Amino acid sequence: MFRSFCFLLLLSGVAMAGDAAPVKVLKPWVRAVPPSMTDSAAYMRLQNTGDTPLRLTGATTPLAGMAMPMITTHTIIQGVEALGMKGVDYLEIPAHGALVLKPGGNHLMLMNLTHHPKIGEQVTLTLDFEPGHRKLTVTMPALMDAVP
Amino acid sequence: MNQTAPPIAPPPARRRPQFPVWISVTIIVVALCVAAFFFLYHPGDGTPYQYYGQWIGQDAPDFMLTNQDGKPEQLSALHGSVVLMTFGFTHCPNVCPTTLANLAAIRNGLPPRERDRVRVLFISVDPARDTPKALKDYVTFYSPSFNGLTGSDDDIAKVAKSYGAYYHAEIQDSQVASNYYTIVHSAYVYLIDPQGRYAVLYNNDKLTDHARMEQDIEHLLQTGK
Repeated sequence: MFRSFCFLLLLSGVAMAGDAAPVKVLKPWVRAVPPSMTDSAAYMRLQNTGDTPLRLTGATTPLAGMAMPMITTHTIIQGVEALGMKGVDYLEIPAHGALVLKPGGNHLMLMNLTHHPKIGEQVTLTLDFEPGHRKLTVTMPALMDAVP
Repeated sequence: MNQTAPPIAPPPARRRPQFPVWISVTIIVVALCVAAFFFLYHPGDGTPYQYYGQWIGQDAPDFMLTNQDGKPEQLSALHGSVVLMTFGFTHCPNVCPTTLANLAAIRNGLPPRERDRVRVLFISVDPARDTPKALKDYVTFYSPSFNGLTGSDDDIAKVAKSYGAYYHAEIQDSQVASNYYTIVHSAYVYLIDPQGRYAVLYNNDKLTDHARMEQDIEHLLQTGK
């Protein structure tokens, strides 16, 4: 069981860091953005393999000054659907459930970019989870758009 | 209290109801009319094509804004092309890049001859920050063919209003910078057909189905004069 878990972690390109969170990361990627942009976003599917809920509280990365969980808001204003975004303290991953960060939806916003990765360049993000200050370092490509 | 029940009237002698001929005829005629309506009537431009987006089919409100090269760009000058138009801002890290990446993929999925007749206009709802230069960096990253448009606050407000687009600035509770703000905005895509009609409206989530978007565009390129 544990061996297959490790195998899956390897498959999804996840490296364990210290006290690793019981999370499987699938199809992670960072959006490649034009050099003029100060912010970008990271997307992935996070699967909680543990028996207790986890909270994704943020991330650290050499790419950006700060990484913050964000939700996309859908509000009907004057009969028109307006999209906005809002920083949140965390995004929850239910026990044995999944959290999907996807374009146009929930995401990890990378603010104050210090480096603009080229398309295909591999970058790393260390995800922060609570409870337990657990971390997980994930390597992912910079892409223009999600891989179908 | 004791009351004697009133005598119950015997039920009238039942006759097998006769179905008058005129009722039958009316029903048949109405049914035929309904069938003919559904058979012959197609919303939209009169051809039996069902659009993936919402058919609007009215004259596209014209406008003139400044493009990414600092030159005036007028919508009505793009007659003959299919124009895909959306409102956004370049400091938008999630929704707008998703929209533009989808539009680039949709355009690239078309055969070259049709691709050349598809124009994408990204209209800024943040003209204070979106200079032509900022727009050029942003939109051409997705495709060199894309146009980014900006203008005065009033010009932008007028264009947005004429297409029923909505936007407002919102200060983010941010630890990053005190002047950091985001724009809450509608993210529809408006399709203007080669005749200059505001033909179809797409909700942003429809853009992920590239094949069906391409089908609408190809249909309009082939049937629109």
